[in-house]
Amino acid sequence: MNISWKLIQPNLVEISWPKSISEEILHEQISLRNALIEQNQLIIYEIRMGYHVLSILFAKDINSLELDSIIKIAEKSTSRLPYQSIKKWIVPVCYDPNLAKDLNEFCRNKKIELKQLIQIHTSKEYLVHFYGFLPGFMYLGGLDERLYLPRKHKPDAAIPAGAVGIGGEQTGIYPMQSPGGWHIIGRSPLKFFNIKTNPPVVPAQGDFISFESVSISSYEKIAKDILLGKYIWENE
Amino acid sequence: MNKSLAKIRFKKSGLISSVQDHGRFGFADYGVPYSGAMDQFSYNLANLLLNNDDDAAVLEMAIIGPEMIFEMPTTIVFTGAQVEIFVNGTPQPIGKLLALQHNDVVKVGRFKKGQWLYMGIKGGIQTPRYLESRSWFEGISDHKVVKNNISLPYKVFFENKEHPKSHPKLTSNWFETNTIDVYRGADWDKIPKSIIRKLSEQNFTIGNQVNRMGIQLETNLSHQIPNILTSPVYPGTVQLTPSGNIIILMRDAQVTGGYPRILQLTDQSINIVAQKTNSDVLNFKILNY
Repeated sequence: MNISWKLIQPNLVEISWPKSISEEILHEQISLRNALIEQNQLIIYEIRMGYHVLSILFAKDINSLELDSIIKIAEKSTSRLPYQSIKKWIVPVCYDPNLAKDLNEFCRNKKIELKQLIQIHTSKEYLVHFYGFLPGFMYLGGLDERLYLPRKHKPDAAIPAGAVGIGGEQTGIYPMQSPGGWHIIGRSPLKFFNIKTNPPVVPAQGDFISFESVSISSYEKIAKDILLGKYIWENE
Repeated sequence: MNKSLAKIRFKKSGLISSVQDHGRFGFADYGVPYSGAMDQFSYNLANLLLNNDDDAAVLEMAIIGPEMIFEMPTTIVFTGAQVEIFVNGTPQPIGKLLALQHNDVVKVGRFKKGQWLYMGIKGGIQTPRYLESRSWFEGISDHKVVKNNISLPYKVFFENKEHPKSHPKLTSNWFETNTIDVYRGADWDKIPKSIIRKLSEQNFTIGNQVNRMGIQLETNLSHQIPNILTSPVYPGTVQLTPSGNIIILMRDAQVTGGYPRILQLTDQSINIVAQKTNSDVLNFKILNY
């Protein structure tokens, strides 16, 4: 795909794809990152991503020769990923107004039955584009447009960890308590950020997650298993 | 030399005192901000004066400083903002190595100039590392700011000789410049000419909110630039919000953002703006690069 690049500061380069949210771009980003890490381990300090942008922070100011070689690698990036490496994770979610404060209001607003909301939200596979906003917050692609709803005008002061929300054209999970402007429609008992594990998150960029509706009692059982260290994330 | 641990206890915790170090690097992939001392220049200076490792943890303070009791002997030094310091009631200058004895009381007084004060301690504050850094950040470390019931561990050092009477005179000159060096931001090409002119000609005033995530400038640059798709941001990235506000992202900033990234501060510019306080004025000097 067509890429462009820009040197922002003497040690920061940003590579851009056409402005869109797509699996193909994500795969090119991942393939570029892997190639860069393989070939330039020493001078690359950190790589960050957005939906159609990959930025490279270097350990030192780079010269034009080094820049040229980076651009050459970027131009060769391909959307072909080794498919066996892509996982599909199952995230249990309890869609219950006792655990999700905006659930009833959301249904009223969108004029749909709770059953229908759950059916739509759980029927999709969501692509993990990248992490941002909060430690462990996944930017997910793939929300059904029937569930689009603009963010709240006035953000809530404290949304609990595990809250599943919808904001605009996105759905996501709050990994820790935080202020936020999304409509909370469910709650997952899973831990989405754990500083005691390396890496501190489970799904990788390029993986998929899907939501599975669970009752309050199984929500509580899973929460207990997590506390006891007995829970293992399911994937297929 | 005795390397057992003693504690700093807090008679008064101050307002937003926290443990910080060089920062938490290598975890941005998982959405983890850098954190670390707001003014890295003064942070590094504190550790340099103490002959510490360059990532030793310090206490960062602002607005209202704490009153602390040191259980056992050590050496400390203050850098950064111009602040009144008292050891057992006696005024002491910043930049001077201060040898402390059993139960000495260190009080941080009035902030005269600058925003952030650093207290380096010999060997560094020994609080736990979380993801390889001792910097406090909500959701990562056990604490966010110092409270009265928190104590901070440090290594005990019995000093055999007095510290030299002379010490570097630390001034605020370096952060009093109004001119902030910046690069063109990643979304520079999307900014209309009228805004570009204002960015390079206008003076901007620092807003009154103090936090470690970002500095808001009092301005209203109305514009029609559409929001961008969520993209990487760094400390020093300058964002233009839909309502025309300018935000300079600082050490605790998110790793990605959805507002146009109009400018990017140089490393030293980040330290300079960190020390700016409410109603200080600055202008941007756009580097030709």
